Amino acid sequence: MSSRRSPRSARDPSSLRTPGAALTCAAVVTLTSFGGCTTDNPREVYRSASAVRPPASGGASSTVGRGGGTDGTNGASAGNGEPTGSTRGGSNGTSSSHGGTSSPSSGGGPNRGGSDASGHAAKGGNTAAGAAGGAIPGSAGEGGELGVAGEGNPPPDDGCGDPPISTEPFSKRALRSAAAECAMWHYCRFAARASTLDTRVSIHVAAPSAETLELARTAWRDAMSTWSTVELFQFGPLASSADSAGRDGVHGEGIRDLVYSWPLDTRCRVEEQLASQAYKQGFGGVLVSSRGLTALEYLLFYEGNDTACNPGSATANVFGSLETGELAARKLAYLGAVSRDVLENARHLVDRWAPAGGDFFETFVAAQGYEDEQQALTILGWALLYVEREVKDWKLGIPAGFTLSQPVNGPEAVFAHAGTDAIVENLRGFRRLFQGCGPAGEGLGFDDWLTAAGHGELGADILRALDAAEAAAESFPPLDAATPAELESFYFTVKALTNLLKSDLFGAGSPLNLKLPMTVQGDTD
Amino acid sequence: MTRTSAELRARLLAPVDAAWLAAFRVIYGILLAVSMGRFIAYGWIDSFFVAPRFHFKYWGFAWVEPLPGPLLHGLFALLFVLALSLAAGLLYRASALLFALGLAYVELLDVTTYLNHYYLAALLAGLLATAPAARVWSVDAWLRRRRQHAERPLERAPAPVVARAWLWLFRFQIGVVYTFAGLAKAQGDWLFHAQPLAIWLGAVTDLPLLGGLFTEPWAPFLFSWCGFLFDTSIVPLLLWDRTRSFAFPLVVAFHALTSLLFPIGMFPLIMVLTALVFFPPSWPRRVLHAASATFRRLPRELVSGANGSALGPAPAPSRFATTALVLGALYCAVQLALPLRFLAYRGNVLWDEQGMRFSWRVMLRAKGGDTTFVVRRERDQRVFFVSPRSYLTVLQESEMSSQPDLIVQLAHRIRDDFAERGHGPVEVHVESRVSLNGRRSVPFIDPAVDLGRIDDGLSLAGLVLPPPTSAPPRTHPVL
Repeated sequence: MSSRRSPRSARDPSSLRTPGAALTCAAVVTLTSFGGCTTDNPREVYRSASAVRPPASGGASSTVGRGGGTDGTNGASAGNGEPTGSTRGGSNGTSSSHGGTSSPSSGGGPNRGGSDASGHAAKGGNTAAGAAGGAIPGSAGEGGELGVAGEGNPPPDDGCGDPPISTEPFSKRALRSAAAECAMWHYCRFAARASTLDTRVSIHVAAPSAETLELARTAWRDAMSTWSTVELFQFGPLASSADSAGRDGVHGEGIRDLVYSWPLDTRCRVEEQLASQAYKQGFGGVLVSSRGLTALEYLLFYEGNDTACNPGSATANVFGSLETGELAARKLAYLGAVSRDVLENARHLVDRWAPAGGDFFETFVAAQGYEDEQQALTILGWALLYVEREVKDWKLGIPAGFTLSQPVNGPEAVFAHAGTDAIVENLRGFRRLFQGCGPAGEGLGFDDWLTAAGHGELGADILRALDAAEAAAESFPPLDAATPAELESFYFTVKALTNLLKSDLFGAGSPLNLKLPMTVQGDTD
Repeated sequence: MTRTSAELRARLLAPVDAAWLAAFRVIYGILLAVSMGRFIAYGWIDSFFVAPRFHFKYWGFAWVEPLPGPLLHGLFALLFVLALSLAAGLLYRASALLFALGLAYVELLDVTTYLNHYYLAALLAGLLATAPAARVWSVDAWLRRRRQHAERPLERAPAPVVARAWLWLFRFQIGVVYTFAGLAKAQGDWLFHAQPLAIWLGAVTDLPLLGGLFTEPWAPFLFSWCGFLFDTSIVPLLLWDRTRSFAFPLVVAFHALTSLLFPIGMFPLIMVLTALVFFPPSWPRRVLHAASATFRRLPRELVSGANGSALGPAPAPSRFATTALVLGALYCAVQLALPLRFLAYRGNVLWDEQGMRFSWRVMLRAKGGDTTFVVRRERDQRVFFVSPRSYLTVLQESEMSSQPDLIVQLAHRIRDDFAERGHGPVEVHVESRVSLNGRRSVPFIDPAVDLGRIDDGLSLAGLVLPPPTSAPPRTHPVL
């Protein structure tokens, strides 16, 4: 709950403009298709970028995010010390963030920032990439995004600034505002990484080499890492509008699936596009399972020339008839097209929250379109349940052999071996939404609502379970290398968290009256 | 027959104006039609009955199976038409009977769709199907009169009266709902901790004008006590002539407020309009008489007898009258026994659910939980964690998680499913935690019990672990 910099409050735009504009303008080259940098609307900052300016971090916020940052590993993320790696030092700062008086250094941010980055580098195995990064033409504006190996390099800026940390006292409106700010910030970060990815992919497509491939892979890992946090912010336009998804049936537009369609099976669908090249007619008719980050992962990381489609299928026949060179060329061409598509969808997502693109920020904060503000908050809360179904049941329960039915066609990020990293980021996203947007959970979150409603003990228990789950995730080996005992242990650690969600926080007994995501809400009595 | 029983019989069979019953038929028929329309319009037929792959059965009614989707849609359309036909009094007896049977069938399809007010709707539909509610102001009566006029023009039409017993039977039914709902509130959570009302009021603090009020510390207690006092006192207040004019507006205000605060569908409207049975039987004529001052063209027969007079001679009691009175008394006895059966279980009904259904415990619990079935394959002791989601819709899972008989039913389904999949014999245990009225969740079902070997029945309290002993926490509704 402690906070240091007010978010861009709708009530006081002037207090937000400066940092916001600075953030905007620093987004630079990566978001060149966006509008101008000058704006009176603070929320423009997450969508527009046309000039380069260093981030004007708000006072102590730089300490929160950057303390201990030695990174350079993750160029796009290190500007604010945002943890993106897989190992984190220090305590989680839970208690301090609840005290309401925590200082930046006591919130756990420095510890996290410091170890994250390096951890990510080690895990990704991309430490060599940065050395070559500077040689990439046209990338200078990306704030050193290629300098991934530079231990001690100044953290590059992604144009999104520090995480917005609300200093407002708790109210339901303030919680919606804080969550909306946090979502926008994460969307912005992903858009920046999608831009970096697109740039690197373009370079690789133009002149493929082992070096450019490795850089593109690094960018994919960064984008995927950020996206895995975004997965926890599925409400509003990002969310599916389909009832079956149990997300935002009011304002959901399904943008998420356009960017990331896991757990849908993708490989054969991607190969169908390689065979038919139908995407050249436009992505309007391309299935979500054929595009997005999962398609990019396959195209960047899978080196075989075989196909997963049925042997007698048209795709298999085409694959069988293509020369190796032709197939490689097709893969490169589709790689470029998909990365551009991902970037465009990321931009569209950012844009939907901006005033010019529908102003979903105001819509959400005012709970417009929802039956009432409780429905808006309930839908927001449903985003937290990602850890229950997707993480516990699918990502862990299936490989652990605990989940009987398998709606999931394949493990996550299997070609890049990034499944564990994704879970780590999922849990970080959970903290950002549940506790607060700061790196250590500073700011407003559902825990503050619980405290205000007299159920702070539940919030504290959830955070303790989250701490344990994060600790387990950060020390967990790659999913495909984990032993059954390790998987079982990790599963139960996450289950302890999800038990609290389903038995206490959500459902008919929820002290906050947060219903489970019903496909349809009937009468009660 | 003793003198007392003879007097009682005479009083119960004494004729009263049938206008109240006709009005009830019209109003209630329209409400039922709207209710059926809501199922159709809101997609509830598919969500509640077609989409689930597994249906929870009422004990003794496991043989009730859902029709295929298109037929179910057709059934609801038919029920809609039958409700309108019932309201109009067209082919009344057949319409009312078919409607009551159809509604009962629908309600028996899946326990998780049980609601007290659906149950009330079915009971009232059943009563209507047996009552002479089409004697006046109905298409049937109009057709009969025309036919009679053509065939025997000099013969006088039967008096538009019904036995007083019908009036008291309907009053009893409505009174039972209020009274037991009120008595059920006489417990600590409701009266001394304002739970679960404090939780629910916390969800509507954005309500114009009233929302801010709900954040006052005393507000949940005020609403809890008002609800308790209203439910326990409203029946006598409605019955007594001198307080009825004050009590009915109270009924309207109370249910208007609950309608505003909670998603309880048609229930407030049903309770307001059915409370009209507490007025003198000629109330509809009085209303129409008053309306005739404005609408001068109202047919004379609608307003005649506004003071209860000029109803004509009472018909002789039917030779089945005594039998009907006995059946009515039995019905009343059952309606009293069902809400009280929880006493036989000696447990906390809000926790163990033994005696919960059909007992008018309305809006008394915020209860939910998380359930995971732990399946152990006997041949190699391999363990599977089975989420109810694999078999249930979210609504079903939510309802099942706190009701032991439903947990047992799903355990049986899982056991059978594993056998069908070739896993052979399995043990089915459950990890379940339930929270009640804001308390932290505690284990609900004994995890040591192999539920696959437990028979579903009327007494599963032995499976249920002790309820939480702590008082519910104080919830502060916040803006």
